[in-house]
Amino acid sequence: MKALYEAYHDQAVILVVYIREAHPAAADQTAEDAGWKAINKTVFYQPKTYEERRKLAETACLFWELPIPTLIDTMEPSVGVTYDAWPNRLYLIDAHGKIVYRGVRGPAGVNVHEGELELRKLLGITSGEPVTKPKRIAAPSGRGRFGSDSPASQRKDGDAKSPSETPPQPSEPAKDQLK
Amino acid sequence: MMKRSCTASIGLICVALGVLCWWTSTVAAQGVSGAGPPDPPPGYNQPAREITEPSVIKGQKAGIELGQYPPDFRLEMIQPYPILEKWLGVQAPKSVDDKVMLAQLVGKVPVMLLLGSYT
Repeated sequence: MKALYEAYHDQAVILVVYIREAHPAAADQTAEDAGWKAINKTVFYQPKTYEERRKLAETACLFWELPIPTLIDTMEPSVGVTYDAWPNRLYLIDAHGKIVYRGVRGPAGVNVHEGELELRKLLGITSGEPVTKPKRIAAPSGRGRFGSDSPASQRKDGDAKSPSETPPQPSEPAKDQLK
Repeated sequence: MMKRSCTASIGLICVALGVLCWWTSTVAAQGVSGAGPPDPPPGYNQPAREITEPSVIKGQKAGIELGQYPPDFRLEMIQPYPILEKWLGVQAPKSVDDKVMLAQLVGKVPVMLLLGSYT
């Protein structure tokens, strides 16, 4: 996502909205045993207040050195719920203000490469190579790869997944989706 | 007699499995155990959501389906970002207390939104 931002931030508005945690630490976990769900002394519990969410967002953005403008979602009502985005989702809005791309909802759904291809179409970019790589998702029970190999045009309705397209639950959530 | 006992046992096992499935899905959905959100069942088509918020384009109905005008929002930033001055000019937020309004950003260039969190 960082690479995409660096490549297109002069031609498109790119924003992150920090919403509800997808895989928060359990209540009995501490900074010592929370593993990757803690950065330094900050444990990523599910925030109960806006201030807690702000602190987590700040910590994560600092950790990632994220250059992308990041907005903090409100608790209630939340943009994440309104946009049906939890745990994560990518939207693309054209210059007329209409939604032209809505990615598959997580946990394994965000496909930055697919979003980049759609953005390039909108910007009329035909030369050069995309800066992101097709997403590879481990297939369950011996099935072949899917997701990144599907044409973006066929996956515009992110919810209309056929049984063979249902992404597997990752054993550990992708920590680098915003990187 | 034995057949009836067998049938009863199978029934009990089915009920137990049902309760176990329900409990697992409930706990996962609430994120209590720290597990991830459940995937929708195979073939599940989510019903269209009724959006009551105003759209980014004044006077238009808001929605989150393809071809619809997305709902507007006003949110605080982590920090002031100079790039926003390029798109918002003098209206760009100067401090973290100022909020960014989506409607101010759409209508000029494409807008990409990534909604997510660290975990």
